[in-house]
Formats: sequence, C-alpha cells, structure tokens
Amino acid sequence: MRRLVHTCIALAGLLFLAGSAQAEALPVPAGDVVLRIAGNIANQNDGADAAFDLDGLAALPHAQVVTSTPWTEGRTVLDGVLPRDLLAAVGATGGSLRAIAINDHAADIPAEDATAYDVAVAYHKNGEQMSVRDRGPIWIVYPMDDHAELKTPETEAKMVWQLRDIAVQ
Amino acid sequence: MIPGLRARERYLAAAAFAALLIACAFLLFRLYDERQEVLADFRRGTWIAVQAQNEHLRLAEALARYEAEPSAENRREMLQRLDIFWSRLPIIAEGREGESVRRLPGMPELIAQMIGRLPALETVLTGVEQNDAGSFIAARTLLESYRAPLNTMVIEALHNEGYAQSRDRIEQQYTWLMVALVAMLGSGAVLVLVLRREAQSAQANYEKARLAEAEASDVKERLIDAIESISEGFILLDDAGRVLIANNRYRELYPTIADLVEPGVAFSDLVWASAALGQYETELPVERWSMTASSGWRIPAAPSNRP
Repeated sequence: MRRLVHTCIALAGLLFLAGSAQAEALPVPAGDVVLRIAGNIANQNDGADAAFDLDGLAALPHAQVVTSTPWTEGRTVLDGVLPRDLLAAVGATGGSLRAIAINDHAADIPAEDATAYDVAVAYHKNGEQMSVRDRGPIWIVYPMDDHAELKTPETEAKMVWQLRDIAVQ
Repeated sequence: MIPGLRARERYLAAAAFAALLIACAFLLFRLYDERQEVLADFRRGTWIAVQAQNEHLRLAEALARYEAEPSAENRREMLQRLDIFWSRLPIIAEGREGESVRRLPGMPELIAQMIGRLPALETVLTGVEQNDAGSFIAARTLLESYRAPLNTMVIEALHNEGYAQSRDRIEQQYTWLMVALVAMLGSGAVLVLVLRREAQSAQANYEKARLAEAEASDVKERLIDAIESISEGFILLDDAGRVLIANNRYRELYPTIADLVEPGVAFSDLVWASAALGQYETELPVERWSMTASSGWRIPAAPSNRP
C-alpha cells in the first residue's frame, strides 16, 4: 500500500513535472537569492539556473517537518517545501541531487529519499527565518522522529544546513 | 557426621552460588557497557569542533584577503565567513552532537567564552577601514585570540574520540572482565568442591552401612553354624510365636512337619499340622491338645523336647 502511494506520488510528480516543463515560468527573484538550482532543469530564471528568494520558495506548496535533531534541543518545527515540489517547479529531470552549503560542504541526496520521505527544504525554523548564524537560511531536514531508520549518521550527513545550491544530476 | 559442619558447608555452597550469579551479572553488565562505549564512539562530536576551527581559519583568510584587496565583494565574503564561523559555536554549546565535547573538562567555560566574544569580533570586523591599519590589527588580534581555545577544543575532542580504542580504557575494561571471570571460576570451583565433599560423605555413609550389614550377616551366619552344630533339636520363636530359626536336627526329629519348619510360620500351625499328620498319639481332640501343647512354648525359659 505504502509502495503504491509512493508510486502514485512519483507518477503525479512526473505528470506535474511534464506539464510544468513547458507552461510554468519561474518568477525572477526580487529579494536576496537564498537557493540556486542548477543542472538538468527545464525552467530557468537566472541564466542556466533557477534562483529563489524566500518569497519564491514560500510560493511553492508548503510542507512541515516536526522533528528532533542532533543539533537542536527538543522538537523543532520546520516549514519549507518538499524536494519533489521544488524539482517539479524547476522542471528537473534527473536522479539524485547534490546539495551544496555556503561553506562548500556537499551531500548527495538520492531521488528515492525525496519520494520515500517527506524531506523538507526548510526556510523557517519554529516559525522564523533562519540567519546564517543560525544555520540558515535553508536547511534540508529529514523527518527523523517519524522514521527510526533515519536515525543514522548517513542521514545526518544529508541534512545540509546553510544550503546554497542544489545540482540536479 | 557433625551437624554443624554440614550447615557450614551448606552456607558455603549458597555463598559460592550467590557469588557465581553476581559475577555473571557483572560480566553481562560490563559487556553491555563495552558495546555502548564502542557505539558511542561513532558520535564524539569531533567534526563540529574541527569545523569551528576550519571556519575560523577561513575567516582569518577572508580578513587577510580583504586587507590586501578591499573590495565590496571581499568585504561581503568576509562578513559571511564571520556568520558561518558564528553558526558553528552554538552547535557545540547545545544539541546532542556537541554533548561529548561539552562533557570534556573545562570545555563548557571555554565555549561560553568564545561565544561571548563574538559580538566584539563582529564590531571589529565590520569596523575595519581601508586606510586604518590599526583597525585591521585590532581585528586580527581578536580573531587570533580564538586560535588557542579552538586548538585546545579540537585536541581534547580528538583525544577523546578514540576513547573506546584508548589503551587505558581497554586495559581497565579487560581488568574488570578478568575480575568477573576469575570470580566466576573461583566461586564455581568452591561450589564444585563443596558438592564433591557432600557426595564423598554420602559415599562414606553408604560404605559404613554396607559394612554394618555384612557384619550382621556374618553374625547371623555364625549363629546358624552354632545352632546347627548342637546335637539337639532347636527352635527359636519370636514374641508372636512365629519361627525365627530352627536347626536341621529339629527337622530330623519331626520329619512329618520338616517341610513346614521355616522362619515366619506360626508355631501353633506346626502343632496343628503335627497332630493332624499323626506325629503324636493322644486321646484329646486335636483342638484341645494343640492349645495345651502350644501354650507351653511361648516361654523360651521352658525347654521341652516336644514341638
């Protein structure tokens, strides 16, 4: 059943992706660019890249992850977008994602993760914007509390904070 | 067997058994502890300490670049480096990841001091002026003051990282495991010895009983020989008037009932049988005669040559 749901989500994502590839034009960011997506994408708004400011991300379908993490006290509420919605918006075609942080730390995020789990590309922590000093402005968060199998060092390595770029491979 | 000794041995056995159980439990606890220790080694928070040090170096680099080429781009880069460096210290101060670093002696104070100086660092970094060499010196001096505590933190964390593999810890764990094993062996040996002694004393008792029985049988044998060796007929009855023993001479004297004279047979039955088979000639009816005959025989002190 769960597998079926995932397949449906994946199919819906593909359909949406196919539709958006031609139709949707990304708005050009007016504020500071907080996230840049490069690689195999159909929709661009800044040269070959898709650039987002916070408003641009907030305009995408909203997702919320509530979880504890090894770097925070208690449970943290994180608002953001699901990678699949983000990738659909930029008309991404490709398997995995490479997430690159401001300090050049990088991690590969497999496409399966984005379909199997509600991973959030979060831009709000406990309802507020995150500064660079507070590991913002963007943080990839896995719902660790909801899935015991995610409580591993491997997952922690994929929870990139101070995210700057995503390369679609 | 002295009863006190038995009780003492029983206490000893109970104590040895308790010691064995305790040693087993201790051994299990130590093994569990070992597993936890080795697993914990995977998260000693070293990399966040190293990251802080790394970001400190990159900030110093960005400051030097801005001093060499004071462009807006380099200034922006430098201030972003400050933000990144800034972000690394609170991670050590809070959250599970930094816990192991915080546990190190003196670390919480050191981290708090470093965090406390961050606003001052921000002030000097935002205040550096192109033509003011003094402002750069002040910024470099403050930035430099982070170097030693960061080094200390990284070295301590690295030292602590190999904790599960450290020689001292392994030696200590090994000692405890040995103590538990020796205790198990010792208490096991005591238990075995006590049980063996118990078994030996049981064996000795059995041996004694066997000897006593053999002796009794010898005595009986001699008694029979003695009875057989006398020339007269001899029969011994118990209190209930049953045959205990009779010699062959007795059977020869009363051939008609020879087959009946066996231990356990009532003497009155012998008399009855004897009368019925015509051993005696008498005018009395068998009942009367036998009552008279057998009554006189209850008293061993009244010997007679009649049955």
